[in-house]
Amino acid sequence: MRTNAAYPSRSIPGKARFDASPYLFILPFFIFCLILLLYPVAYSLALSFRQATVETFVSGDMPFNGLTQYQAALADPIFWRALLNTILFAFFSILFQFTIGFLLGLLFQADFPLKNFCLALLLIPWVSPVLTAANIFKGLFNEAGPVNRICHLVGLGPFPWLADPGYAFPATIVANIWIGFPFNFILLYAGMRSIPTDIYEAAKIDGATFWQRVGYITLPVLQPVSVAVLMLGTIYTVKVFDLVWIMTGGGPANGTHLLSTYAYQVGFSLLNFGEAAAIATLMVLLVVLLNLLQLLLQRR
Amino acid sequence: MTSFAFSGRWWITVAVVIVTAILLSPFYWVLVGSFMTPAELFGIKQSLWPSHFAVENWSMALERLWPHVRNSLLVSAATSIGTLIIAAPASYGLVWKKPVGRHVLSSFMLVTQMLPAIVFVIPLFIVFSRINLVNTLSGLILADMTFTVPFALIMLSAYMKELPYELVEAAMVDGAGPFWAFVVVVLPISLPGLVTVGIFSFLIPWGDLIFALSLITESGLQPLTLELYKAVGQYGIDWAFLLPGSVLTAIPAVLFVILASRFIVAGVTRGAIK
Amino acid sequence: MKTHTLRKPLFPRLILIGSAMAGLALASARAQVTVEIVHYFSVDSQIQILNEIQKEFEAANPGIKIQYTYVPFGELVSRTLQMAAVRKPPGISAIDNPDVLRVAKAGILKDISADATKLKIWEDVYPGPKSAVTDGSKVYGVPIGSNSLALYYNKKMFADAGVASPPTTWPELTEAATKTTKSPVYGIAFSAVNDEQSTWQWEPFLWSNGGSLTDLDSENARAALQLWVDWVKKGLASKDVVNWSQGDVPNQFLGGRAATMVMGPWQLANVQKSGVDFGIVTIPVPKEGKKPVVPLGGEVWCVLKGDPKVEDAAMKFIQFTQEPDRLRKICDTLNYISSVRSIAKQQGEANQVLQPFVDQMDTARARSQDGGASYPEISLATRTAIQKALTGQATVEAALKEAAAKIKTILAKK
Repeated sequence: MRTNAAYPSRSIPGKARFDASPYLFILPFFIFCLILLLYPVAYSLALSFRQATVETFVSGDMPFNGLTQYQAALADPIFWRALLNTILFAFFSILFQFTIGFLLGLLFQADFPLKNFCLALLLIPWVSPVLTAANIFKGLFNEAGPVNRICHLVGLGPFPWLADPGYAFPATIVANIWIGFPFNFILLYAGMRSIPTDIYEAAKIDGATFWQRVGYITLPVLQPVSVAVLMLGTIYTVKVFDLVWIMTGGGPANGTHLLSTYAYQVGFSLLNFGEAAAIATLMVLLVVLLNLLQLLLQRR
Repeated sequence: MTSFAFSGRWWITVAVVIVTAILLSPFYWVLVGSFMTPAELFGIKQSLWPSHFAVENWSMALERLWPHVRNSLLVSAATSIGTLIIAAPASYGLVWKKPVGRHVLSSFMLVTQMLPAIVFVIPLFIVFSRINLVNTLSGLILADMTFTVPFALIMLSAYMKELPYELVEAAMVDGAGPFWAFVVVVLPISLPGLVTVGIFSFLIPWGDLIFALSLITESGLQPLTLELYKAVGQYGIDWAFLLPGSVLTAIPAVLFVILASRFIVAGVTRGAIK
Repeated sequence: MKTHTLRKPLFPRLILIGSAMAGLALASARAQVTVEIVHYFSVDSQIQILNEIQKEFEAANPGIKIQYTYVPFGELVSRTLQMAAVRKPPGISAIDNPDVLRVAKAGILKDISADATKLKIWEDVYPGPKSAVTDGSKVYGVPIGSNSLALYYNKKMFADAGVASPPTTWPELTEAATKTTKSPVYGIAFSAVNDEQSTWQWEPFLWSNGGSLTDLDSENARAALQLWVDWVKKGLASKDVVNWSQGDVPNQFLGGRAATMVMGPWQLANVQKSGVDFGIVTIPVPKEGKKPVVPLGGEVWCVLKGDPKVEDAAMKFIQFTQEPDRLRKICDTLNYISSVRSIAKQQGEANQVLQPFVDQMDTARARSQDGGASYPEISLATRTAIQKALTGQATVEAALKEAAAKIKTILAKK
């Protein structure tokens, strides 16, 4: 075994000497990202502290008004409803999306005929324009639509799916699960594919059952990928906007608003860009909190 | 999974087809509805099969969407390739070299993913106007990459962490430089992750509406999503265009995934440790 | 020899100078002004007429070029504001009339009172549309056309159910709806979705009963909302109305699931094509003798402040569209009732079915009259009340009281 005198520090893990090579790959883009992303963030933050409405926006002369807009947002009962909705929406969406995606990933581990074809087909909910998906579910949950007809067959009365906030909200969650599960599925599937099969063989020889193999091999090895998928999943779910906006518009009676749709309503229907920016900032804080929570739960 | 007789695996196919059919059943409405007229779609009869096949919906949708396929393909392909070129080596470096400041970078990447669309709509338009990238495909590609590159970095870092470090170490001890180790060892092992991230980096711009809406107003440059969005007019939704249009927009994406998913192969690590 | 050599270089030089001058002359003649027009017209026939006007106008005005920019319906106002903010405003923006005064407050619309009042048709514009673009002595736009709401009814369903004549009052309407409601058919369909459309659809009932958005805690408003609530409660209207946009409502009517619908003239072509045997009447009034007061729809050509050359060219374009024959053609193709009385009259005579819309134009009211630049916030408070009452989350009285209080604070802020 030749020792590698030329690269001593690099072959020893854990020795965090300042090594520029990773940054060389990413530096040019990092700078561009900084400009392109930092500007909107800074702009949005600045906007949240200023009175930016139709009257002041164009002239650029938006007076600074401190925390007024944050106070206005926090004083609005719709904001709190939207916040609660967002948390519930995220929790249930991710729970089901991840579970379905994980189970599908397991199902697809074997090689079988038509595998890649079915895999691609299962991406359709994610690939379809949200406009279409939202309208599909609007049609499905119509008073006279298929869902009620199926319920009727089972003897359950017709439900006012989209006419009542209590029912409309779960309906939006179901729609979101449909749209989101392929994302979880494919990413987890790829992660599972990277696990060397020898480990499974060895475990099978030792007598482990299928679910034991999943529990003791798949889950632990998949952890970095699972964490990433859950984290991104949470982030993306909190951002969901089109789906709810098209399906219910935040109604009825502001009952299905998420923070994203509420911010949009304030910003673009009422043209109060300043308050919308404040709500958006609060949204980001929420996401950060949720992610921290997830990280803490992981550490256990 | 070494060679096996296909006949033994058919039961999985059956199970998968059933599951797929159930999960995709809402889409059936789109397929069937695309052949109906709006009146029939919402009519009293609510039939599960069109009374006559309104093929004109499809020909009209195809005609309207065809010129925009090129735009969407260009933007998606460029975004995907560009993202992989930047993110793959960068994630490798971040995970294996563990440089100083990597946590700051990761956190920054994560935060960029958290920004709700509304935060971008106005400032993006303003910035791109000032640097004259409005109404250019390259501007759109760059905007899309601001989302896909951080996403790719996050996911690829996770996939890289999954890999057995011994392999990389072994390659380096054998005299390979870091770059060579990357190309010959890391890339092949992380292929499933790379391909998957590449697929998503293609699909995300394919379905993007927000960036395109803010940056492209010139009709000739519009991607498919914008043209389809015209189905939402001031008077309501043009179902005769939206439904076949949605299927048409999804087809290239699905085809791409079928092609690319062949590369999400397992077992490359098999025997490597030995 | 000398003269010969002199002439040789001189002649080509003359040609050079001559062509340079000609080129300069051509260039200055070709020095074009481009007027960018931002709009959201997306139906084929609309695009066609826009292109026609463009060709005719450019032919008559060689130095001006028209460029249309399509923006999705919900984005128009914010896009216009953004363009103005980066100092690249369009020449004209086709703004929905309730938004005009609000956008004018941003200071980006040109006051075209001098030119507008000189238009031949200006005196003849109905008071409603005129009020939507006028702020004191300032005029911020010229209406392209108007529309409003009326009652479409299914003649066959009425005949089958024994409804002798189309309803003219609320009690008659409720009766007709009751008679024609038979699962799965509903007597009436309207839009009460969570955006401007529900306020818009409710306004005919509120205003015809003498109510106003600035005073929702009144008996007039309560009766108007109770009408809707009763329809849903009694099953004469679907509970899903709170989710139906104005695009969903015609689907119900044309699909045979509703006997009547509250709808505007823009769906006329679709309804005629569908083969349904239909009729249109003016919005039923609370009781006999009252006049229907309907809200005004329709877009406005607004000139944006910017390069004076562009402003002038933009005004020329608007004047071009307001020439009576051309205006008539535009309104017919864009599904408008003209905002100009004489032309609207012609439309009504040419197409009897449109007459109810024309009749209502005299008393039609611009939405910005009921709250000015705060209309969007007032509308939001109103539709929250409508939806709360329709979903049973609050009584009509409680819902309207809450909205009225909110509106008071909104108006106090101004």
